[in-house]
Amino acid sequence: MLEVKGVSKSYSSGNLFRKKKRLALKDISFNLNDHETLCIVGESGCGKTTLAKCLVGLEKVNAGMIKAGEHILNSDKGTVISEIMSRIQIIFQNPDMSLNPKKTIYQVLAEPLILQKVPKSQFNKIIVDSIESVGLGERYLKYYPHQLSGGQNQRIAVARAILMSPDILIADEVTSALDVSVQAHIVHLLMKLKQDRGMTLIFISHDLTLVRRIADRVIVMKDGRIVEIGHTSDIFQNPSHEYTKLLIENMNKMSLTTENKQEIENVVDLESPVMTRIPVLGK
Amino acid sequence: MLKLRDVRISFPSEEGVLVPVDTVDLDVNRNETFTIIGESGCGKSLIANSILGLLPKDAQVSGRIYLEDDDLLTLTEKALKRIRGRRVGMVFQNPSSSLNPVFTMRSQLAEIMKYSGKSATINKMTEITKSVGIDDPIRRLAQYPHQLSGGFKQRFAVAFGTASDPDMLIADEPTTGLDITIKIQLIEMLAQLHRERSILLITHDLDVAYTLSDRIAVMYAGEIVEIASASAFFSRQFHPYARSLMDSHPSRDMKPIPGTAPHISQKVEGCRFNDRCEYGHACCCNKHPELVQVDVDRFVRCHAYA
Repeated sequence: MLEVKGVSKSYSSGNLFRKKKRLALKDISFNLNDHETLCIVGESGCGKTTLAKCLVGLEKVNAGMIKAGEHILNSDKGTVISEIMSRIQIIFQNPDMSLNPKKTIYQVLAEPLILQKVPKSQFNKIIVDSIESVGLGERYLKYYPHQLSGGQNQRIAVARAILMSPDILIADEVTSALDVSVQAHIVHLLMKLKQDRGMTLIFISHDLTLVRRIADRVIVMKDGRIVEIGHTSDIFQNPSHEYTKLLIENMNKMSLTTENKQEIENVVDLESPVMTRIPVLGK
Repeated sequence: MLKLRDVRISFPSEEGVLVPVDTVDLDVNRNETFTIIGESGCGKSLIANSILGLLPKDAQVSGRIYLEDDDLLTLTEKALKRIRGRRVGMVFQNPSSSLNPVFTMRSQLAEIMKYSGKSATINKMTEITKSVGIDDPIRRLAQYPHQLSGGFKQRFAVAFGTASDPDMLIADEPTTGLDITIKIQLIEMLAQLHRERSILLITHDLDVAYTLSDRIAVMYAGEIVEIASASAFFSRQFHPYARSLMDSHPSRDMKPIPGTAPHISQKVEGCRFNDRCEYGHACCCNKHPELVQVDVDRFVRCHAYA
């Protein structure tokens, strides 16, 4: 579906006389398969977001190329935005920043349609469709972002991303700013949309417990390089790279892991006086 | 050590009086880590700030907050200043906004130590800096906040909170926004600290609560709905909200909780969780449940246990 070949990206900093170059991505190559959930994990500064930005054409790559079939989407010669926009969409971490506070939800959602020169007569239908598919009603269209909660705003960001029915959806840390129960809502929503619309999902996250749950394949990144790529079960059961081992060890150290759940089910004592009074809670 | 009795925080507003925190009772014992967990907007940070009188001026706090024998709500600003930092240290959520960008770490640490009546010798300062796991204190102390990474900044924030060796530390979301590796180092550091002092930890991160706490309180819509010892709590939650919260964690079923929490301007007659609760009874809609003791170390606010 999407082929990333030898992509490098550097940012320059410093002043006119002392230019510094910082490599953000070094020789990244991978293939994205149809209908899979590919998760990219790594610590802050490892290049996850830069990679996402290159994939949607917000940044031009310095070397290598990103291809979809025969079409070159992003190479050192430049990006083909119109081609990318209808194929790949992105949702960012913080909905408060990615939604324009001066526009109503309707205006926010109409923007991509204007850019794609969709006839005005179809606006209403497409927008209502997409807001309903993220579980919000038509009445939310007249609100401004500040009138909605963080979770609802993130839904709007999802609705905007699926407006043009993209083949690929990139979710860049979409749940890190949200509470666990809201995180569960958004992840369920993404998985459902992926299934209903046959999309491919690239999910960027630093939460390994979450990644383990939803990913088909995992890419582990460190300092701008891919250190390991493989199927979720392989990565979590036999990590080959030292860094992956460290990440998984850290996850096990402090997370309420699944082994823990076993223990929990054994402790539940259905005979305790409280539990017999309310059997439904004891289950 | 710290006792909160019937604490209620209210704000006057155009829509009438808003009560984001209602009737909170809790005790933090000596040398214990007590954690308040809850989702954003449930009022947990307000509790942390009310203890040291750090709320905005228009906030009204009623009830009693005792630190050992002192009722903190009756103290003057001058007396509170003597308690802040010296007897109760505080670590805030975001180190990039709680540290002063125009002073070096050394001068900020020195200021805190002088303020609490300690002499700020370089030896003492390096010792404190080392105690939070910073290996090259001399170099780090000479740096400004922008030269430090997020993890180092948060370590310094903890160092500042503990600089005058307080008996109690209030940590408000200390791990938010940190990478897992740094988070673990910070947690190990806090675990070290907690052997010698009481910690009131405020967090929405269930993993952090699980790793650090001795006792746990769960807050929902401004009320405490369950208090239990951490080991008992993580093996079984009694309150339906606490249970749903745990079930929405990725390591469990990751089941979303239907609906949303009531807005603070919304008056709820009965149980505040009743419209999202899968076990709801008729009495849940009109009668407000009280926090009742159901076990040796467990209190629950739910009609099912009353």
